[in-house]
Amino acid sequence: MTIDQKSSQADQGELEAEVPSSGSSFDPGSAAAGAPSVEIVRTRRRRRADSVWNDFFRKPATVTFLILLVAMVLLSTLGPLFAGDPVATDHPTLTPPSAEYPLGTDQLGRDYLARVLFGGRISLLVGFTVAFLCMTLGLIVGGLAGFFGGIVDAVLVKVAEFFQVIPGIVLALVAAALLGSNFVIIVTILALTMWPGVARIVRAETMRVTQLGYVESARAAGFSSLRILWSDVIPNAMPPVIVATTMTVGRAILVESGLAFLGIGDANRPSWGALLNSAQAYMAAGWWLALFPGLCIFIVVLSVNMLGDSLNDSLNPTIGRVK
Amino acid sequence: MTFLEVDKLSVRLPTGARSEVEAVTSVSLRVERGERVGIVGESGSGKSVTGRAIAGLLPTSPRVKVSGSVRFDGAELIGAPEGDWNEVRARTVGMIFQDPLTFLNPTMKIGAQVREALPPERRLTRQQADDEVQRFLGLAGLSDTAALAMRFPYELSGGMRQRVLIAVAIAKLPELIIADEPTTALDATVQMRVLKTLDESVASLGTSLVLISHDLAVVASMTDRLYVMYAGRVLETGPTNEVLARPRHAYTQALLRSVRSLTDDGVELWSIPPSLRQRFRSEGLDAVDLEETARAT
Amino acid sequence: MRSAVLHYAKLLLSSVVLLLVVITILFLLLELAPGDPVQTLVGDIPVSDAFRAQITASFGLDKPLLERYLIYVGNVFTGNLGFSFGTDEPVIDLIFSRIGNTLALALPAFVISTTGAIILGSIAARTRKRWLDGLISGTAVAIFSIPNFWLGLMLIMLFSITLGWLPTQGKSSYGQSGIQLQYLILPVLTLASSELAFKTRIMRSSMIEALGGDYIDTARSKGLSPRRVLWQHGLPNALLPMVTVAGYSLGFIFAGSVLVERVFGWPGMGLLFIDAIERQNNMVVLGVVIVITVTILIVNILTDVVYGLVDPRLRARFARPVRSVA
Repeated sequence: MTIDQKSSQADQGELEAEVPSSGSSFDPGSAAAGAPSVEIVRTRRRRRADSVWNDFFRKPATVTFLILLVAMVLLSTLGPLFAGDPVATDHPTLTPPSAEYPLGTDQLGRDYLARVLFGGRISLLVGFTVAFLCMTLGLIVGGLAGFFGGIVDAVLVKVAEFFQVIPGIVLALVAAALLGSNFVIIVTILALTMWPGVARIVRAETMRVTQLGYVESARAAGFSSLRILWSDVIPNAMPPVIVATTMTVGRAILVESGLAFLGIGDANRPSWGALLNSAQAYMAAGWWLALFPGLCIFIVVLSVNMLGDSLNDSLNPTIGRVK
Repeated sequence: MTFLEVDKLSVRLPTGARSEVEAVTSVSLRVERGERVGIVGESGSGKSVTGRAIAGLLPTSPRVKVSGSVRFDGAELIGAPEGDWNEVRARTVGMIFQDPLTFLNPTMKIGAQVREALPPERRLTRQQADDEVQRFLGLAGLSDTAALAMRFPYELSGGMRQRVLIAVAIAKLPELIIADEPTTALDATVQMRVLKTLDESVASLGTSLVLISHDLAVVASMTDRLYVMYAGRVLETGPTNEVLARPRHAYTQALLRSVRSLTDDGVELWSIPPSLRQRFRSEGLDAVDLEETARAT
Repeated sequence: MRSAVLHYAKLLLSSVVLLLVVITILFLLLELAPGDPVQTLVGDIPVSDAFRAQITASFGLDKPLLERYLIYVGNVFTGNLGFSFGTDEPVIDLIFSRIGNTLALALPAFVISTTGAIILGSIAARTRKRWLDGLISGTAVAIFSIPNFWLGLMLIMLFSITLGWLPTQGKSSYGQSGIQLQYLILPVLTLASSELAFKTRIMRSSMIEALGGDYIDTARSKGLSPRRVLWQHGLPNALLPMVTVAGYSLGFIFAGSVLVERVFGWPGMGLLFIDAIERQNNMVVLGVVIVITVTILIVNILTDVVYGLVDPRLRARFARPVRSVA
């Protein structure tokens, strides 16, 4: 197994072996006639798309964390409209959370609730933007690589390998140090370091789907390759890609927070990580300063990861696989 | 006393998060000492599940439900603690599986895998155990056994791996061997040779044999009695020659007709039409009824 | 044997190529950075003319692009990573003086996270109690979702500030050299946690996969005890993918120490890196990146070697296949 295959499996956090199926060659008609097919035929497990989504939305984990995530998104997008001014310093400094200041105030007398809410906008915006870019780029390059193979494929594999060697955060730190640290640069760098992971999964899925019969028959019917790719292959490859994209949201937020914590980011619009950076000096005097931004990051990333996990579980149920 | 008696065995298996299927319905069969019995049927007939149920090798999930009776020399196993099943598997029943590639542990040497199958109470020294391993590998038709024991499964060809599985099964000197499609995964030429080895091993050890296969030719040459299964039930049973020459159940007749259509010249390929299948399943006509019908007429 | 040599030659070659790509990208970033190249290399602090001349000579900054590139590459491969401004210390010496401290964090974190993951992942996969599996898996996802620097802050607030059990910063008490155990605990714990969570999930998947293998049926058919089936048949097969995962993990632990060292004021390579970034001591910055890259490449090669030794299928690949009349 190549490192490449292993890592894409590691990315998914789910390993599947492809075991040759042991169907009998005697009478294929038996399946068609609806005989109970009990011989445990082992192929790469996939379920029909609609049953996957049904199962997914029925799970308690999905519902809980979807609500949580939506709540956090709403709080961050709409909350700042109702909260106070995040930069006004006319409140008493370093007051613990109370009825008047639900999240307390910081060392300069700013309303912390407002700061956290505004910070959420940045963190979430970065996370979702990066994930979206990764998915788009990943779909295009990974889809082309998996479907057509050849040079695109070879290049993609090499690029993905490269980004495995250099940890994203290190590269981001260097680039930010040399080129500056505004929002656009951060998003670009993060997207650049993370898209190969998604592209690899797209490629693997595309290759799997391409091998299935109907792609060949579509080609024989005369449809153009791009048309087949767009309307047949990609939709069937989507579920694991969606899982990977949700995981990317989490990772992007974590890396962005880390960068902000180290001081890389827009000083005028601090994200949650940047708030944590300032909170470091006040760990003894203002515990709430360090608690709340981190808690927010945790809740969002947890929700996103749990959703991704839940979807992955609906795709590849592991119940009953242990002998 | 009958060596192996299976009485109204039924097995329910989970097929999804919320669904189950009855893979085997009220199957009864018996095997005498030294007898060779075949279970034949198409894929999905439940023959493999039956074989595994006899050895207690169904998945360990709590959703698997087995009912009925499986008795070795009168000792009931259904409902017995897992320790009893393990005893039976360690000494009495050897199983040969279908696909030697996946049924051998890729990280363990051949010799070690065969050595594991030797019954512990023989209390062999390491050297004695190794000698026994080589003896069984040889009985299974392999040569250069000392070197072979040091190899890993990936280094062997398909036929050799299947012979290793045979060696694993006979190493415990079992009283019964259950062979589940032992040659299906092999090339045609290799199949004949491996079957011959199986034949010789069973003959020299004097064990009973349950041979499960979809291939009528394989079963015809190797078994004394035959059970024909479809959709989880036994539809017909009798001496192998009898069943194949003068089938009584409509399904067996249809089966033989479709097989012959493969080999006859100038005859169209014939397969059992869906309407007929529906009839077989819904009527539930099986071997018991055939016996009664025969007695009544 | 020859195919083994070929395989490793290819691996070595691709590693060198990757290193070259990294160096090239760093070089390009330097070029893209606004301002005069010397300024970029030394940051905003004014430096003496002598220092400036030294840098210019050493890196050929007054020469055309291609020559500069080649000199840069040549420098890297001969271990000349430039000089830290202010102290004029060669960057490479500076890095090596701090790398030991980082290893003191990285290695224990690696051992803890790997062994913990193997144990917890196996339990989660094997247990019939759904709640136990859910607990382990759920906790793993939760820990995996915690930003590790925030975890560090919380741990400090709990164990150092509130409870006073452990020190807050640094690697040893004032005036002492070397590393003291109680200073090691929180940073290692923080560093190990997210890796532990990640690897537990992978181990669980891997074990489930292994226990679903057909050879488990064969093992059971021999009448082996369930314990023996798990340890002798399940675990070895489940550990194979873990070797690769563990290898990558070591590389990332190394890099992840950047954040942890900042939280705990731990004087390792990571803290050096961050300080250098803050002060725009860019030669140190680049030097650290190169050292990290080289380390990760070496670890990857070692992982490949270990994996090749451990997986019999790969050992078999290098042996002659056995064929006889079957």
